[in-house]
Amino acid sequence: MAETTEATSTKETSRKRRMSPGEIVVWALVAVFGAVAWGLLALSRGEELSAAWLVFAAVASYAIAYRFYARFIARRVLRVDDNRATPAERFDNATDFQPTDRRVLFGHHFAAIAGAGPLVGPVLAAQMGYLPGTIWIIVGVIFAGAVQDMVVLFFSTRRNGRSIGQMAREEIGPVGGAAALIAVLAIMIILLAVLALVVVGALEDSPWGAFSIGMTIPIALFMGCYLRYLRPGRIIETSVIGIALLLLSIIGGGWIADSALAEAFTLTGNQITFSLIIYGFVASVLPVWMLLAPRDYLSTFMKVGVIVMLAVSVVIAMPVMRFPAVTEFAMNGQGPVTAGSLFPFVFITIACGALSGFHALVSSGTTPKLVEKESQVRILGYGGMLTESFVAIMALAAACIIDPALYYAMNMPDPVLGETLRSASQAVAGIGFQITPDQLAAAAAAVEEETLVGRSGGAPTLALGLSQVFSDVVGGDSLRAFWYHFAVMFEALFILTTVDAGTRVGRFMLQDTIGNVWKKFGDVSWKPGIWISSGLMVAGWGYFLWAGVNDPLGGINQLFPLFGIANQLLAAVALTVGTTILIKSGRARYAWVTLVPLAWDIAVTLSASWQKVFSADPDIGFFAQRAQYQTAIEEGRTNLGSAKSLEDMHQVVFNSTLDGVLSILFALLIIVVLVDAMRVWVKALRGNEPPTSTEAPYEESQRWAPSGLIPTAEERRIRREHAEQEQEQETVGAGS
Amino acid sequence: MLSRLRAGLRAAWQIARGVVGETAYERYLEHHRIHHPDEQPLGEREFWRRHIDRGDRDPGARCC
Repeated sequence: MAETTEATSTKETSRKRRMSPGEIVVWALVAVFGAVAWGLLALSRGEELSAAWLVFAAVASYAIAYRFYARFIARRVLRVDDNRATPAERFDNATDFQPTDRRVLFGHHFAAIAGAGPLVGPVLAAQMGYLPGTIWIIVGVIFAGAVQDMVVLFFSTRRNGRSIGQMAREEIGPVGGAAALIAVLAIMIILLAVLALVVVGALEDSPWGAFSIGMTIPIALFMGCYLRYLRPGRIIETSVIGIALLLLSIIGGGWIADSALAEAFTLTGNQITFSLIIYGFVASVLPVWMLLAPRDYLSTFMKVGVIVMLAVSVVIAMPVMRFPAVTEFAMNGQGPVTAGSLFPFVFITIACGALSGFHALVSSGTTPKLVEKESQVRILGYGGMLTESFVAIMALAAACIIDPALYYAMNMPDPVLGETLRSASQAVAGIGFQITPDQLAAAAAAVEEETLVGRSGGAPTLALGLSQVFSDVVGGDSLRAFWYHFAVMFEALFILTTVDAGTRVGRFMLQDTIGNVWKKFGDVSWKPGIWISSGLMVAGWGYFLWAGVNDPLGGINQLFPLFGIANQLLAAVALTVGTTILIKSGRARYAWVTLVPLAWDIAVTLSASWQKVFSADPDIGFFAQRAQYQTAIEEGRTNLGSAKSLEDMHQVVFNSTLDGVLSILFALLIIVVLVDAMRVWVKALRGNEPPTSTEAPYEESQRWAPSGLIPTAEERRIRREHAEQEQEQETVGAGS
Repeated sequence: MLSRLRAGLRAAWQIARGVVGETAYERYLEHHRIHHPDEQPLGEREFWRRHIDRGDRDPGARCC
């Protein structure tokens, strides 16, 4: 933080600069390279195409978007001003407000936004081929996701770090604010249920997986105590020990799976479900230092490490994609993983990585209170989201190098696949792919699992893809099983951390909300309040998790669309707040920057909700599904499709009713927020009132810092000047 | 050349420490020195205890 000097020369950096001929050549080359990569991806029909082209197309597109579009938004639309002191500078208290080095904050912000989400959605969307997912991830992030993150981060920074809920209330009104709060709670519950469902899919009947994930709990407890009592503050040291123990527990899992103890760690879906529910409750009421903080350290390390490893491995190994560009499921909507045609369902299935409303919570929570300079919102908000998008592209690449028949055998709903390898092989043949029972057995044996059939949820598929890529680079076939379980562990680690943290966040929101009517409940250190609100949150997601695990039609198939819709609903709230602020502050001519992604988001979410509610196809419409099963029950039938008993059929009727009602609720919330906001827009555009501002008052900044991760030549020159000035002042001071 | 490489590595190490949060106490001392020079700063152990316990009252949002 030696750059704390007078902000005299900031004007020089914001001065208009033309591109030099060298720069023009470089950017033209990037554009050509990107165009070639896109062309190969789009036009390839049946030729062997390396997954590295996905990565190249993404990186070239991101670079151009960051250089030109993000810069345009920062300068013209948001009008970032580095002479203005950020809340971190004005309220610096060394705790929640603190000017933080942009590179450090980038790491923080990225760790907070990226989790298992971008790893799961793209894998499920691969059933439509690699192209629809790739286009949405890249185009979506450039024009919607990254824009949302940057705009929310900037507006929150200008408002002393206000949360998205508070901004919605102030800008739109109490109705918008309340809708935002309900959206956040709803998404949290569905999100936690879906993520936990992914873990169940990965650990069910897998003694290796169950043992190594189980071991993360004592490892985290040990790390927590070590940091608390033995070596306070030695985070890296503790994390290195933790990771070493983690790797040991993965190796140990292999031994356990081969030993007599395997039986004890072979858990059914319901056993894992109830373990997760108990874990979620206990973890969220324990002090943070015991479990959550050490888990967070481990997750951050694993996250960054694995992603870098994956990027390097894909480029070195250049695995060939086995998936076609577009499958028939994209058009006919009969996809076995989740039903529904390309529009709107690809845009619902892939939320994190393209447009994730949840990020609005991070971009309006911790990060704006730490930003050192306004211009840094470009690298933090836009750049951070581009990085998450890159992770999503990697996940898609890893899924698309798997044999499609094996992919379907893993991801079709359990009840459809049946009990045996033979029935699974037949089910896959039924949708036009060939894999023999022997091949299925061999694939499972290669990663030392009992079976891979029906391991839905995305995590095991991704783990299989990762194990292929990694073992191409390090260790060959002998390490296949290790890498597979390493990848499962890495995803489960994220997810369990999210389950703990998410339950806590939900608990605080409940305490806050109920605290408005019942004062005592709002006291966050009042134990009964903590237990009740944690219990409510856990009961919420726990119910959906349990219903998902036991869903006769397959939990992921039923719940994932709801999660996507909820996430995009929150994005709609965030983009509406952004548009409203732009219009109210007299920048209506730039409002398209957030209005276009908002319109797209609403089109996607509402048409998905419409189909989920009104579609006559029982695979898609919840109420059509309900009617189908209800009629069958009334006709006295005791089985229908994959529901094998009367009880199953009643279960389907109940689940589809509940899911249908939730779809209606989400759609209504979007409409309410939008209509309420439009009222505000019309009022502001009529222009009877002068533009209003809810910004914190201007204060001159006394600091200077570069804008991007790597300082430009000009920024380095300014920094040198500052250093010289400081030295001069010091010598003058010493002389007088 | 070698010294520049070494300086670069050192900077990268400090960024990594910052990202995981290991520099919190150093930053607190720095802040304290500038803003409250007359008061005695918290000891290292006490600081970390409070630092982590803040999470019990404000978990911070995290995405999926």
